[in-house]
Amino acid sequence: MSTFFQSFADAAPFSWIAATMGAVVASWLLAVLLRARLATPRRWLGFPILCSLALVITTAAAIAAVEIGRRDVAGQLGTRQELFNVASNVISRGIARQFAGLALLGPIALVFLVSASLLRWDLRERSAVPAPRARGALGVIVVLPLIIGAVGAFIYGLSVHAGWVGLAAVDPSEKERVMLERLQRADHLLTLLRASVVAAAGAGSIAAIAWARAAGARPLGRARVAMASVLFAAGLGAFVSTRGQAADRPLQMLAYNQRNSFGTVFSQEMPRFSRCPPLSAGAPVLEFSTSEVMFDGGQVSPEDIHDKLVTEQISFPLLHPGQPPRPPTMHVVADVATPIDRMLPYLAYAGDVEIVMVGSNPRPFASRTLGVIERREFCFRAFSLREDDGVPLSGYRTWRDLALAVDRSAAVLRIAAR
Amino acid sequence: LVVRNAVVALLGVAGATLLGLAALDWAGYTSFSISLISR
Repeated sequence: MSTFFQSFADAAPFSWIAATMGAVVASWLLAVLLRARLATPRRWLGFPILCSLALVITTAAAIAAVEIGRRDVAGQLGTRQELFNVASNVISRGIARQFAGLALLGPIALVFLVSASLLRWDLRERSAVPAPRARGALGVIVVLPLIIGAVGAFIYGLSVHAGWVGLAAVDPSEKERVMLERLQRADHLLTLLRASVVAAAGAGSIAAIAWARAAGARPLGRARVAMASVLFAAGLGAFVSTRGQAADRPLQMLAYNQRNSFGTVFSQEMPRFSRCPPLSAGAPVLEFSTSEVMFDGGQVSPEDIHDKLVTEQISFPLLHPGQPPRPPTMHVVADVATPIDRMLPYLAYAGDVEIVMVGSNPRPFASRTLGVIERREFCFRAFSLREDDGVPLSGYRTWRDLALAVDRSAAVLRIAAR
Repeated sequence: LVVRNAVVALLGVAGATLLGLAALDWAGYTSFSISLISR
């Protein structure tokens, strides 16, 4: 079944359009074939019940597909440490299932519309007095919000799918921003559709009153009262049960999302800063992990640091033509508990350099449906490392102590590498 | 009786409207679900 969903989603939007057209043509053919049978005086009353049942089952299947897809994605949410174990194939399958489920809603709604209009023509009451026009208008307007809801969900799905597929062509560093922008845009489409449902409700209220006045003091059949009550109960139930989903809007963009900015997730606890000035440019990264020290992803010894920084400085104009030269800068990633004694040999060889401490601030998102979603954002604070001038680095015990001093200082702190 | 009929008709309209709005809100959750990958 998942292979079917995957291929269906992969072939979008053609599969979606083909499914819609195929289903509409099939239902139209079925309605034409059944016409003669239904037009007889002895009507087959089981048929409308069967049709309603088919409608409910197919709609439930589409909703279930979307819900399963959502569970796939939500199931990959975990603590920060668990982010390493995220299964991207499960996430893509979850997203594809959601698209496939939404794609089914359009054909279902249109099949229902075509079949209902055709069959209504044959099942209409053949009385001598034509039914009042207000009754026809009311019938159409009651169905309208349902059609807008189902077809709107289908169009919204198409729009999100198109944006999602188009992400393949976007520069990796821009992917997150572009994706969130596209999701926000798709949300605007939903606002427009909601407005049209409300407008249809306004027109429906007028039609309801016009119909009641035109019908006069004739009592309504029990079936109609039951239908209206069931529709109201279903509407109220659906509305109440989707409040959580309505409240959860797409996550906001983080300027330095810890998960995407570097393409790496750091399991260590990095310093927190009260202020996060924007980062002016990228720079080589010196990372202190529990067992080793890396310079731009490669293992490094203290004696090599200076040469590596000089090479970076020389190659910068070649790699970034047209950009103004920058002062020697190095990002340092380390756990807050890292002893300064361990870092000192490396920093002592760096020479006069701007050190950008890589911090990580929590940016939790309180969702209604999934509880608090942990998010973290990189935060960068710099200090000036000098060979002799400034507060001695050895005066601090850990990376946390130094981070606290840097955070409290209004000006850029000068630290001596001794 | 006219008022009763109008109430029944309005009940149907309200039900359909709530269903339509619920369908759109439910579909819109897909944006949130997809945005989780940027967490």
